[in-house]
Amino acid sequence: MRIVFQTFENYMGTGLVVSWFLISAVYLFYCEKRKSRRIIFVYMPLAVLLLFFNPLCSALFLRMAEDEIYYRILWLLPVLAGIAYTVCHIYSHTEGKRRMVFVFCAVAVIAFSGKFVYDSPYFSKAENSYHVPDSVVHICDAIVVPGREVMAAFPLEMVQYVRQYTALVCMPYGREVLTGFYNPLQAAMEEDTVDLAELLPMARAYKCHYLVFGAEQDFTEEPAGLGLEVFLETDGYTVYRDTAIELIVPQM
Amino acid sequence: MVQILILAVLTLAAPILAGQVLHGVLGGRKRNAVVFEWISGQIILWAGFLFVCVPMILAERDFRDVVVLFSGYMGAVAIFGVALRLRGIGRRDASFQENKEKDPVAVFLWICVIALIMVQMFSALTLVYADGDDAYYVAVSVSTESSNRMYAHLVYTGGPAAEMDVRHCLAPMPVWVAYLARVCGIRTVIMAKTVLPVVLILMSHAVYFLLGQRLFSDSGRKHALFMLVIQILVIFGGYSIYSAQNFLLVRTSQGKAILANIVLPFLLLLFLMLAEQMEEGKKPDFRLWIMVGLSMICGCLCSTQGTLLTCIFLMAAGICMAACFRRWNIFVWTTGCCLVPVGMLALYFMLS
Repeated sequence: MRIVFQTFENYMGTGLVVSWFLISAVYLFYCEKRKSRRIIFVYMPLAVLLLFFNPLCSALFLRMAEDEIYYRILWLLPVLAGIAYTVCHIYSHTEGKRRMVFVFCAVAVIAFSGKFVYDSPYFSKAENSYHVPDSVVHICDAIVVPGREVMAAFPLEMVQYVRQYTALVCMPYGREVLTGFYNPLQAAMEEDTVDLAELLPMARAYKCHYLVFGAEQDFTEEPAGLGLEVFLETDGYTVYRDTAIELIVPQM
Repeated sequence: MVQILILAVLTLAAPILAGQVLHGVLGGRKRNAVVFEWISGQIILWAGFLFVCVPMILAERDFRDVVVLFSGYMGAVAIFGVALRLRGIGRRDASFQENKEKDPVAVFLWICVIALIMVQMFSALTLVYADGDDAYYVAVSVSTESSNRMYAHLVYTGGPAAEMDVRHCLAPMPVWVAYLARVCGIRTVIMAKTVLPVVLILMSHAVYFLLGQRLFSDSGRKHALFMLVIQILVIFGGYSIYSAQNFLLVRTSQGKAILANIVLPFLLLLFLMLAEQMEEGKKPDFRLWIMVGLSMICGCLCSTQGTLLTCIFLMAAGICMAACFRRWNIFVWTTGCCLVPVGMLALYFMLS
């Protein structure tokens, strides 16, 4: 049951908006006469909440699905429609100047109860129409070969965007390394001073045609002496072509 | 320009034509019936997409077969909808008294609503949200469109998949995104991350518009106020990363966001319409029950968990309606509507 309450707490976030919805449901229980509205905004949400907090149901659900998506049952609560309907219901039962004062206060209270979505630090201005970083676009455009796939190892910050941009670039490790999976090649790629003697056998085992490093990264040995040619320098990254891995370009 | 026109045909014209099969469901409320036909038409098309796509994925057929079959299905449903509409064109719909007088307060509120929707659409075009799940869903769409194979590769790395990703391939919404990209000729990543979110945000607000219209058919001002409060709640929905409205603006073209912001609110609208008909002592329009069933199939298309969520919704709403109206035959309809989701659930357990 601890997971269930924790999930509800997470879903509530700062708490006020969901509280307004619950208060709305109580208000409509007393003030709404039409059965159809009571079913949608009072009884059905109550049934959903009873199911959500029911230990048997939660145990069954958690057996079938992951803990971290249990909160989605709460999407069945008509939070938006319930609060908006209640505001309109109260509005229709007030008269004169008080109406406009109520609307102004309701809108202000709802806005202050929530949090402006676009304030999230995860939002940033799009660099291009693809909505992936320019650096990914420039590097991928340079390394793709028509008619076949190429293998390239990228720095961690680019990993999740590469295959959103093109399926023609394959990678030895993907987004899973961002969620805690350890990959020794990725760990070696991220070193401030890259140990090429350790890294290259792993990269060649994956048949990486290209290796992408930050321009500020150093190497224990001279890359050119180990078969790595500078292919491209762009957006603060250096792309090396490993000449030991053959790259046959199909005749189109 | 041509690409945007094709997109408009696929996401606006075709659904509206398909939605003609439901013409008249709104009864006398003819005003803005096209919005209802648009959303319900899209639900009909999405439901069909699941039936076309899942067998093709399981049979390891090419994506181009899905493109051909689904295009055929879309065309057939659109023609069927138009034919039904033309057949009934001579019939007179019940008259609906519309208030011709313009209420300046309502006009002001509607201007605010439209401005706030425009802000959301503009933000979808110009802002990027760094969501890790896009690395899966967008990559599936990109890989499908590029390779003509569906769920045949490891999404994150591009290597061949040793076994089928059952959890995701039974909810192939990313393949629909790839379909739009292929037919429109728009690059898949642009379709998924830039263009489609604009359409889906509009679609979600259209569902709330219909809900508001149903709730406040007597007052344009209250309808506008309802929509304004919805906009404020959506834009200030960042109070939790788990809220449905947060998903609408940050993960717009992911199936779970479509489930939370289009399919579930549309189910709510359908149940409101059914409950109103029962309250008025009328026999519920069977087409509404069919739409409930199709919406549940859409839930399966959006997310594997949508299968469970739509069934829970139906159970909760069905029990409440049956108890309130003492109409126990509701359970026959709800059971019928659950057949496909339960079948999908059984398929999931069989394959995984």
